[in-house]
Amino acid sequence: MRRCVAYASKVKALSFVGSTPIAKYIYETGTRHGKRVQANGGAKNYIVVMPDADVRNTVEALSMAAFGCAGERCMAGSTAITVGKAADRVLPSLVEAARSIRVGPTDAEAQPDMGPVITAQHRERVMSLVATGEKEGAKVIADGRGVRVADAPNGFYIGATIVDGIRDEMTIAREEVFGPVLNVMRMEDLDHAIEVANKSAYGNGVAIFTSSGKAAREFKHRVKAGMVGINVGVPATMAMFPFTGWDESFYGDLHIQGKEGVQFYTQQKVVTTRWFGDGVGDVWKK
Amino acid sequence: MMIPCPIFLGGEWREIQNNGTSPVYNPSRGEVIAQVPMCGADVVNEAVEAAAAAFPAWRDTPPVERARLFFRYRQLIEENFDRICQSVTREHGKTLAEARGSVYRGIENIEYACGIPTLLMGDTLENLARGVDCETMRQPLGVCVGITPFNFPAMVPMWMFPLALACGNTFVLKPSEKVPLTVVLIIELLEKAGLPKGVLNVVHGGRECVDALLTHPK
Repeated sequence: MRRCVAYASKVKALSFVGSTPIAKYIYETGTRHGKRVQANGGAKNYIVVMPDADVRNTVEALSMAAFGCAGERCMAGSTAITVGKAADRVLPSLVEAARSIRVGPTDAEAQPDMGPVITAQHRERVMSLVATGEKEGAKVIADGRGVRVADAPNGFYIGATIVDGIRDEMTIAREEVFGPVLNVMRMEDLDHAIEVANKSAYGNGVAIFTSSGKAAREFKHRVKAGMVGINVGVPATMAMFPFTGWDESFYGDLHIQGKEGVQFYTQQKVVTTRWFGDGVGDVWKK
Repeated sequence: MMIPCPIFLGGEWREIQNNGTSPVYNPSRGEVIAQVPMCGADVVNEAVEAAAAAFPAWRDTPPVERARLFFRYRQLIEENFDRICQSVTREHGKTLAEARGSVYRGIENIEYACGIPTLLMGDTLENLARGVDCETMRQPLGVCVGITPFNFPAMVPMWMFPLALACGNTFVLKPSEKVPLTVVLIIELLEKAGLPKGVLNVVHGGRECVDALLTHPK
């Protein structure tokens, strides 16, 4: 289907949102056939937590960013980078928050805190990525893999999971998990945190939690990603601003939404006009 | 009972199965709730042709009138808000609160598209050279396509087709084969808002049709 749409000769432009390999394929195939393409791919979004961050608000925002929509968002905050003492200040409450997230069916009147993931196969993939993380030396400090939902035993559930001690060469650090799993990396200072975030192949969203204007300024200036949150966990843009993924999170030139969206869906014409006839109908002549 | 999952071609809803189907789940229960048809190259071509045929009249519809379609559409989405959110939740599994948030992000895109007369304005420079004036204008491209993922069944399609249509293009939408049902619902509402035939078409499918399409002569 994807291929046939890309090949159809009357199609002038393609907008795509999905995974990075397909985004790249759609972009390459579409542009080779003379079409405009905007193709959004996957992500690995970092949230830097400074030692001076407001603990209560940061924990709440981190939890929402990592576990909202069961982590199935290209703007999910999938890795928390704690700087210095931030780990000790934030992690105990964060683990507690993760363990208190009630998982269950979302199609009933009584709503859970978090629903299932999309398919049984996807749940298996998420679980196996966490297991690989453990094998590579990471430590699961909140484990949602054993969750059972009594009134919906066949649903595709995974509970909120936090994996600590992540190093950037690990599989789970590099691959987009797209599930309710938060990685934790511990760093000495902001420089190292930015360095790690900037090594990512992706460039969708990043965020910093701090009460320091200087740290926030340094972060927003130096970080390599298209959408930046300052004390905002999921800096997904609203309709009037473009959804500005960078690097492997986006293939194309003009992003979805906002003025870039208008530019993408139109072509500009410049008309240069001259009328002959000297002085005929000249309104300035009196 | 299975939820119907028709395609939408040239203003007509049609249920097809001739090229196979794929199950749509309610992930909360692990139950199959619909069978999505896997469209082949023939159906995709028909959709593109329908969109191409609708383009001249839609392109020539003034931007203020195109915007009015989306003012009406916004109202209908608001009136059917709970139904749409339930559909998002049923086929994707996110909570109702999350579904509501995401549909609102979609509505904001409809609202943005309502501003198209202003957004399309160009620039002019009088007397660029002696006796010569210059102006810019923005014109639509033709048939545009949207291919959308499973994680936001309403919002991501709404990132695309309202603005594409408001700009004067016609459209073929291919939602994720894992969550095709909400698109049927929101496009039924677009039809109710006054969408002219063929201006937007919906096809379904996935990997199965890829090989057949790769060898397609066009």
